[in-house]
Amino acid sequence: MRYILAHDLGTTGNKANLFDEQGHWVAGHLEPYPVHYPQPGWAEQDPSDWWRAVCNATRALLAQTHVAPRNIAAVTFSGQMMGVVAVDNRGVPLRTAIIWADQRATEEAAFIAERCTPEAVYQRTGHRISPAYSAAKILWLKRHQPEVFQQARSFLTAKDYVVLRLTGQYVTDYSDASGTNLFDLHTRTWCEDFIAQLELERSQLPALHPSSSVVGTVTREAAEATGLAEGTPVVIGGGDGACATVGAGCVADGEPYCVLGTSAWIAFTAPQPLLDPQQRTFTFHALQADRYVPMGTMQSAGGAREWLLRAMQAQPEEALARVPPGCDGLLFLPYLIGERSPWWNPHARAAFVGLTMSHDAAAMQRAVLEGVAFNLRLIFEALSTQMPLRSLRFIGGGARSVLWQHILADVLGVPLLIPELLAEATSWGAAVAGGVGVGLYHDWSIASARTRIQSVIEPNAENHARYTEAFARFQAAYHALAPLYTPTNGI
Amino acid sequence: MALLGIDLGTTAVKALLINEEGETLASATVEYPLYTPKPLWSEQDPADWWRATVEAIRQVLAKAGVSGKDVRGIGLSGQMHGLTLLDRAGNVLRRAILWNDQRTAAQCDEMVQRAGGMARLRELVTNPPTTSYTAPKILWVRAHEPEIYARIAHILLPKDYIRYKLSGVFATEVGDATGMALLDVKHRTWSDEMLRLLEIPREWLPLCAESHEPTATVSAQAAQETGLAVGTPIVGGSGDQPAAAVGLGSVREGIVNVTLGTSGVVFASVEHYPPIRDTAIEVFCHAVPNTWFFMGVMLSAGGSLRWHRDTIAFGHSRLVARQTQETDPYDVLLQSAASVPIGAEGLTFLPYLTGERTPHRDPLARGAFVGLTLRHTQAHLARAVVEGISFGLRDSIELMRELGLHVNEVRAAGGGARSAIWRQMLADIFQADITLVNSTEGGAFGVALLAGVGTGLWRDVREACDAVIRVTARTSPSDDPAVRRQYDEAYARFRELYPALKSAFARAASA
Repeated sequence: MRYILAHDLGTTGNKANLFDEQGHWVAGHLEPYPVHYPQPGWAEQDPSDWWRAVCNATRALLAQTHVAPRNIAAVTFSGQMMGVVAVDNRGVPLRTAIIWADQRATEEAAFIAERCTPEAVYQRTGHRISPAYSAAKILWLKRHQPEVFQQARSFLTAKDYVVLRLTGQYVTDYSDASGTNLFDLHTRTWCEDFIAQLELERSQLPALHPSSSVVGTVTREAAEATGLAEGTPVVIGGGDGACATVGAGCVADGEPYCVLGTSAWIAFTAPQPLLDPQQRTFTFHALQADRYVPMGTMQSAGGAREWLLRAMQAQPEEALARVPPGCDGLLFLPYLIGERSPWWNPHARAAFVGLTMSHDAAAMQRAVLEGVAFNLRLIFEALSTQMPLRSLRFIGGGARSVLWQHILADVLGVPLLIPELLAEATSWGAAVAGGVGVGLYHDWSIASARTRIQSVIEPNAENHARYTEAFARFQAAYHALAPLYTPTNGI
Repeated sequence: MALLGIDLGTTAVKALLINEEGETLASATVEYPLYTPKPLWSEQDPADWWRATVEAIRQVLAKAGVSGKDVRGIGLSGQMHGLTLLDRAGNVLRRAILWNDQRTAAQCDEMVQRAGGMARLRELVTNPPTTSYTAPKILWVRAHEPEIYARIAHILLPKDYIRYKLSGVFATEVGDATGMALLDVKHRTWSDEMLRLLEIPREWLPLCAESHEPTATVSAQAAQETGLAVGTPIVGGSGDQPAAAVGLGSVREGIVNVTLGTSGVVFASVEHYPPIRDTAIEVFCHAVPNTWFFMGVMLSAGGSLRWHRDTIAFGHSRLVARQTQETDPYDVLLQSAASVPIGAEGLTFLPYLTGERTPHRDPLARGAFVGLTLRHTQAHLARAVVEGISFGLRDSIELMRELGLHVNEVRAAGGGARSAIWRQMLADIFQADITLVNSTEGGAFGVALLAGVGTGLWRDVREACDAVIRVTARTSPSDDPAVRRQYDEAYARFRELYPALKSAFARAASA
């Protein structure tokens, strides 16, 4: 039996999982590591923590499963995106990594807008300009730590740094590259013109590969550190969003899924980038070399419910289910930390609008579930402009609420498909890339074949009509309050 | 000798006996039912009022050990606006239609139309009628119950029906009469022109006295029923709000009183009839001759706080833990609110949980929490609710300031006034001293004082108030200019929200 070892380098830790040649999950191991917040708005991690976590997790998994290292057909990766690791020409980090959550590079984002124009950046890279992406962070290094910038051989993302440690190769893949604000989705090359306009060096960016590419093999030194066999193929893998899309089984064009965790997103596999005239959504490159992942993401989903339940006592789901759809005119705008899709307004704030004496705790808590569903409908509709989306796979912690399943089905008016619980969907997506890359898996369809739908939630037409009326009021309420949300007025 | 005050409320009647020093001898309360034959309708049976009043008078005399002949005079107060219809023989024609009955929206429009526009209506009767007012209720009976309308011989307000039962006399006084929308408020006499435009016969209306003037005496039959003495004088009295204001000593310009009950009332005496203009403030005849009062009404003041307690704070683990030591749950809430900075870190609450009267006159208005972030906790929500209620009351005070009122002192009453934390917030938000007085018996106390004035115990209402009412606590605005600035900023945010959300509220109502 041969195996794929997939590492998912998340923000809080590395989740390593072993899958067999039929695609069955064999074992998993989590190695946590810290995030450092040296200043408000800054977020950094130590790349050596990532490497140590990968080494420890690999050894632990091999020991736990008694799988012989030579039976590992490939090592592959899913990784947190949009960060920057500056390494020198020996592959040594020049400073700690600036990760996706870091917001320091606001002036640099404005500089990108000035030099490249927001419209051109969206059209070429599939993303709005943001301090979250790698380009602004690299510019920040150039301006504030020029010695780091000058000595940098390459600017890498998290998984690419670990791949460098394993193989000695300075490489990345299309999906991770599509989180830099510098990758041309259409030509699958670095945007040479933007790089020139921003006065960056093309040579400092890693070589581009499809996600299923074998980019090297485990070196002797890395084999000693990890316990892997020297020469084991390393498949580059992809960014976590692209891996989750495959891991959710959504490899056919136009089959969307929603992950409802603290935040939530909806995405699907598409033959073309989705360039929305209103820029409500964005597009990553897919793990597949000829596919894309259009996506919309909201900031507070499960997080909004958790927040409210800290402020008031949780009511049983049966009590929430007894509140009529639409909560008798009560709306919740779920913008507790501003919003990304569809409004892209960091100053937006949450609100309960339409309270009366007869609204009780259950009504307020149901209104939060509905408010999240309304914002997901805005995202779903924005994503439906390229091709019709006729159902939605629903995963993540929030998907365990049967009431939330029904509310979302009724708000969207499409069937919700509830897959069997896949605790390690992101790792599984990376493993599929690894298996395809070394020929262990015939093609990407193993991802959908391995994902069984456990139940289908059909929308209720009457509720859908009521929600559609409330959905119109939801949007109107946002537009009524939006002019009041400014950085200075404190709302 | 004792003075008897009777306050005919919406849920119960209260009878209060005080001595000539203003000290309470005894009080008695007797409840009666409220009928809601249809949604938004609200009625009571005048026979229930009388039965309960007889019982309350008998109880209070017995409790105080006072005989009927020791009662020097009687004052009447109570719920305003209610329509009581009697035939020629003095029989009640139908259940009374109360102040909180909402059936007369079309008749309010009809009044504006018959008057020839809002400006003319204001010239005639000062306040644009709302569904609370009496005149639209008369028009409703004419349109919907013509067989009853045809038998009308007398129209009385609730407390004046009690006067009729005590004395056989049909009389009212200028305060309650203002709430009919048939009184020339400036000249304190019935508006013949308004009556003509509405085609309501003037002979249906009772005599209209000043509040302290004797209007009637107890009849032999009523004496037998109640234990009062035949011939005991009954003065005009007043509606519950002006009567309560007299009881707080709010009888001079510059003294405002704020009542924090389920609803919130802002009340201010004025010495000159103000120039008519479009304002959400209501202008009534006060119980002091040749003075008037401004009134602003917030529908859910303490009601909003109770909703917060029952909906959000109830069962909250940290609050429950503190409640083991604290008796008053509102105290716990207010302490929790006080732990959060002024302005609740950008969170604003609109307290329109049952619509709003002043300043928006919008029955469809609703409540809202706006500006929520992950930082906000239960304590922030509590602070936002208390600030939202206080800002809603400030709206009334600001409108009165626009009408030229200078606010020297705000006397607080009602359940919410017990909280020192809330009184400090009100002082800082209103930028005025908040005081408490020694009297807590409300409208019944106020009209008992009027009975003393009408029977010569005191020369006038102000002398009566000066004799018995004392300030017992005073809370001044903070010296820290940052406090005022922070509240002003939060108030500015509050002011922006209703215009932004008005149409969202209207759409929610039709959902």
